[in-house]
Amino acid sequence: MHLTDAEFVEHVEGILRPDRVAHLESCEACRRQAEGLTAALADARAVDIPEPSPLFWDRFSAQVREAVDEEQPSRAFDLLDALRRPGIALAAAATLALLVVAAVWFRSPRPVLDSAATTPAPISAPAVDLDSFEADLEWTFVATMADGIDWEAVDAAGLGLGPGSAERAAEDLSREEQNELARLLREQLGDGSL
Amino acid sequence: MLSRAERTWAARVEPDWTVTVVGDDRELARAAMAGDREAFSLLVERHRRTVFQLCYRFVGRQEEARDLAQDVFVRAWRGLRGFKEQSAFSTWLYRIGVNVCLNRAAAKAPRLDEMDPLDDTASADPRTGDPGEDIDRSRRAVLVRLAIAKLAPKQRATLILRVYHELPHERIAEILGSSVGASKANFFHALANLKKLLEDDPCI
Repeated sequence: MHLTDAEFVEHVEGILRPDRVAHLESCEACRRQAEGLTAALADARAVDIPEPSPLFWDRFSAQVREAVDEEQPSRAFDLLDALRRPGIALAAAATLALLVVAAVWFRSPRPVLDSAATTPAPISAPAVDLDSFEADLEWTFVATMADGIDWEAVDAAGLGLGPGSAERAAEDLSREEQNELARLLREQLGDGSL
Repeated sequence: MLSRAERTWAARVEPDWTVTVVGDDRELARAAMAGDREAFSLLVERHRRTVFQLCYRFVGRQEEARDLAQDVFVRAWRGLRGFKEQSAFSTWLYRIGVNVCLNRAAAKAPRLDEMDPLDDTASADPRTGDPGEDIDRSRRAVLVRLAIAKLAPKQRATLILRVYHELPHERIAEILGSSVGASKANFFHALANLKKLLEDDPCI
């Protein structure tokens, strides 16, 4: 049987088993292939590269140090660290809940107002009926959670709401997902009073 | 003799040490992970030559290899917390280096006219001292570099790691996220294709 690819590699690396070496010596096709590979390896090995000067290395290290000094610590890990702090964790949970409720509200059918049947809706942004909004169970939950949030801590953790955050959240979640997320939040926070 | 970074690090970690004791890569990586930039500088000092050579083998230009090597270290610094110590620090660094180089290679294939000319003495045969032979050897070396640059990414990476960095197939497999069998197969095909490229076209 002819040598396998792996055996040819073992041959050029000088570790081919003796019984396979015996085959190589008696098989013209395998021998030709092995010679070609050995020559290619010798060609590759003959290529040297210039050795930079000690000055190059000093400059190299200095530049790496400079680049590293400019680097902020990894944002992802900072976020994780921040989330381990109780105040920030609570703020994060509340912010997330705000997003969820905003998403629910934006995707829910609007309550039909008395005048809605006869008056065309204004072209500008829809008016929010704050009374019915705040009466909503989800909103009560979020309002309770948001009370006492240290917003500076929220911003420091990079969790602040940016323009359009709620809209984006609303676009990304289905109604079932919103309900499930709200339920999970309650469960994770472990506060039955909410 | 300790380097500046080694002295700084060792003195801060244990001011009373009089014997040359400097942490191994994992200790330094742990310290760097905790934000110790001097420990990271020491890691850079230890591995810069290897990383630079790896990059040079991929791009064939000192300036570009230097930039890539710096990028490798910056990425390593950023990703230090991803180093789980399941492999050696150098293996982890090689992995970053190969990825950076392969991404670079995918974006821009090296060209003959862009490669650094080889040092006149780099390939000279001291036995002959024959300038004509040196020129042939130097030209051959340039063609080989160009042929290596034309290999498929994993074949190229395997050949560079095996031939120039003399890494065993087990370690190459770890770096490339493959098996030992795949590493040997890549090496076989790299050599076979290198042979073919060199036979087919003198200008590759």
